[in-house]
Amino acid sequence: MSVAYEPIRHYREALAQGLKGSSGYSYPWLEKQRQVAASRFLHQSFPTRKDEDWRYSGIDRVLVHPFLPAGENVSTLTEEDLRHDVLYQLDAYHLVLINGIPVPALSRLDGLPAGVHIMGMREAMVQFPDLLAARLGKTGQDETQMFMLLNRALFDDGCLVYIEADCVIDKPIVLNHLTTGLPDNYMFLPRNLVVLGAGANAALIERFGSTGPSTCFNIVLTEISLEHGAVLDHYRIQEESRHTFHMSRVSLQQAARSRYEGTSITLGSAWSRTEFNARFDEQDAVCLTNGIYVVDDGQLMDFHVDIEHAVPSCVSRERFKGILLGKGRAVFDGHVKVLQDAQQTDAHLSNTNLLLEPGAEVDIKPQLEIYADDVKCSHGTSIAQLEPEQLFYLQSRGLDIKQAKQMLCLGFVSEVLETCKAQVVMEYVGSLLQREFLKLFSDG
Amino acid sequence: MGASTHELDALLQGKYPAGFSTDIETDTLAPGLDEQTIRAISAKKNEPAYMLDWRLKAYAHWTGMETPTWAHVHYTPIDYQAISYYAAPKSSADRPGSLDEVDPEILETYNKLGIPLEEQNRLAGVAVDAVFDSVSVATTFRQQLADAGVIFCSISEAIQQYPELLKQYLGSVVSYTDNFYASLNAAVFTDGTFVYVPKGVRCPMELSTYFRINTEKTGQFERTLIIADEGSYVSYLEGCTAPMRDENQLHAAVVELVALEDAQIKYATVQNWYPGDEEGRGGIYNFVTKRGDCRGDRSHISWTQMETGSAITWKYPSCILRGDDSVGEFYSVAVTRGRQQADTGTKMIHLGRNTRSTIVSKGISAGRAQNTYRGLVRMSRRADNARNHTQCDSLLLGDRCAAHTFPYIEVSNPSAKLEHEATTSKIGEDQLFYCRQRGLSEEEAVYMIVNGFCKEVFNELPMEFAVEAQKLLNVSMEGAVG
Repeated sequence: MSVAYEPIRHYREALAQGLKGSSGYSYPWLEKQRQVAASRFLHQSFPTRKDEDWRYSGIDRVLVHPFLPAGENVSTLTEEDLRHDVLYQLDAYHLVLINGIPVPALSRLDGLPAGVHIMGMREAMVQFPDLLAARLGKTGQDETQMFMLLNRALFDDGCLVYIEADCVIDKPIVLNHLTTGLPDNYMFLPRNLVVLGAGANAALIERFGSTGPSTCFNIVLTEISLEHGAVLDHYRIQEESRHTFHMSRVSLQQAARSRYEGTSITLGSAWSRTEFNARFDEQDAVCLTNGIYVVDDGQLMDFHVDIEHAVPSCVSRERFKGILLGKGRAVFDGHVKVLQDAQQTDAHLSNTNLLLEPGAEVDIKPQLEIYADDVKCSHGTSIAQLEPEQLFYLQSRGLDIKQAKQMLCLGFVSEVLETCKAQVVMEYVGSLLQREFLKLFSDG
Repeated sequence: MGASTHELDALLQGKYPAGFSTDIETDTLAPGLDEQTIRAISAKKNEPAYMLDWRLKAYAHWTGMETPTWAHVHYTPIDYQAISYYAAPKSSADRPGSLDEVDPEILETYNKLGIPLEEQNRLAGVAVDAVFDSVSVATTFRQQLADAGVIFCSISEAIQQYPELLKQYLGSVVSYTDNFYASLNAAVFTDGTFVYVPKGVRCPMELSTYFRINTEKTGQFERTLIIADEGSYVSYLEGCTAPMRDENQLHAAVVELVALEDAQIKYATVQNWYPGDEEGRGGIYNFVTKRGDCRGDRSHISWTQMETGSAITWKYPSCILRGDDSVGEFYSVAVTRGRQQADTGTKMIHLGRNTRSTIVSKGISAGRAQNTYRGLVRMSRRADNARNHTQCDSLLLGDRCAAHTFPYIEVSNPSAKLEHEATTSKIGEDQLFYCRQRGLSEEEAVYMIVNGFCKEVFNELPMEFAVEAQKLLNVSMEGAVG
């Protein structure tokens, strides 16, 4: 290259290039959304550490890679490759997305109950244009976040989970996002929409994994809309390779009496940031979010949780637990905003961390912004280590130091783990964490 | 309750209790700020060249800076050219010689508040340790302190008499490049307090300076420097009231504390400046930089503050825990009502080993006020076994007020232990019911609960201040209840 690489120019060019490409479907409302996002992207620049929202998570590490949208790709994975994937073996409805594109051959969606629709976004554009026109892009109208703008402007595929009113689904739904088989420096921009009609009930597992060591960037936008009385159990498991970069946003909108229970397990990626935004549109809704993150050498994990109480009588709970090793870095930014007149709000946020090795760093910013008086709001955070007494006790019982640490760490996260209502998920995550701890403590 | 509700009511419906302006001829510079202003201030104060140099450097730096906008406060921008940067009373003989010469109405107000005679002397500006406008008129108890070897004087005096100490310590905690208001202060500060406690000396009395803003349109730029040498101890009290007026007044003070090995400094503030009227007009802009440096091992700095006044408070008394085993503490009660805005909190920077810090912050918000806690706890890589406990509670009275908590926590040492808790709520109906069932009126019940809410902080105040603080709290609460 004769001209020095400049991230903003690279991404602007990628955007212009991407907009030219045909997505195979087109609606005026969608084109307008793309245009708005693209024009914002072109007029803004990437955030720096001086931006309050990015104070602790520098993106230089991301920007040095000249990522390009992957576009069409041919899946090289077969069912045989997924044979050892424990999650894939779960008795559930599986939609597998390779590099952001659904792969019907790997998906297992037979026997869906009536009123339950799970499909790729492209297919959804044909089958449910009205639903998408009404729901897609309706959260975060004033989007300014650069990576999300990129997704909004360029997304090509992703998936739709639509459960009609009063449908109760018998098995969990697994959205399996895998990256594989591509050379370095591709980015994937899947767009997901989850709509639960009034009184519907479902369990959704979103999983992000990778099968190869290629350097890639996942920019995922998931919008969730829960109608009156809908109940969603949402599990997100991010176990991508240490070569990937991950940026995801979950945008949640809740109607009256709806209930959202989310559990987010984050282990992978070199750099990852998860933004969870929840907004209550009507009264008496409940939003519970739990999370576990394990951060090892060279990783950065950033969580931004934003809960807005705009109407009275809603409940929100956030509980995140983190374990940090090596030179790992974690960022937790939890913001609870209670607007005027959102009386009887009940909001609590907690974040606890185990800082286990020199060089690890954790930056926490729990915020309460409250404009109503009849509220119960609190946040609590703590940072500590494993207690030497506890380690000694376990050692005196015949465990070696690694086993003792592993056991205490599992105990630390079990509080969150036990909130998983789906037994299969709890078991899967439990074994995942056990394996992770075994690996982490075996070198030390 | 000492003062009856009725009396307090009358008091509040009326004027701001300390809202009087003493008419004294002052030697005032014309409004405006440029290099000449700074040279003029320096010349009037007959300062040595090093001070002028320092001021000019600060001014040059300030001109390149922008007003910080990150705080959760809103106000019309300040015109720094419309402020007069120097005002000195021409003669100290004009000040009241005793309480007999003080306006009887004011004395009545003090009586209503139940302020003891000693205190009244001080409030009315009789005791001569007051910073009366920008120049320290005199300082009390000089002799007794001198016997102990303690230097307690105005900073202008110190600049003349103790240049070595000044050169060594002035700006060593809050440099002239620190922030917008600190730079402005370094350029134009007119006076303030200087305290030096020598090695091993326990200061024989509580030191206090009384600040008043007196001349109209005069910003106050106080500078306080307290140095506690090895093994010494000093407790310092600062309290403020200001006369009522319509124009906003800027107060950009800087306080620097230096604690050397085994030294302890306790710094207490009761701030009750004019908060503006019901619509938030007038009122003091209080943009203060306060920082303590625990420079020596086992040193100890504690900040205690009671903030009830000012239209806008922007204040973060902080501790740099540099020495091993050093301790930092911050206890704060911030009361906002009407349209007051307070953005206050602390920073605890743990650099040394085994350093400990405690933060207790109580915010009370009523009317249409905005009350924000903003704090930072940082534990650096070298700060082994650092320990912090933070407790931030907010109480909301009324459905149009707001309380916010914005703590920042940065930890990069695996032996650090830290807990942070914050709660926001209103007074529980059940608590009120219980008190009322015991025969208390609703107001009395609220006072009682709020006093209990703040007790943890008031316990840290020296006795004299604790009394005043509690009265002040009740007065501030008035009108917010029911």
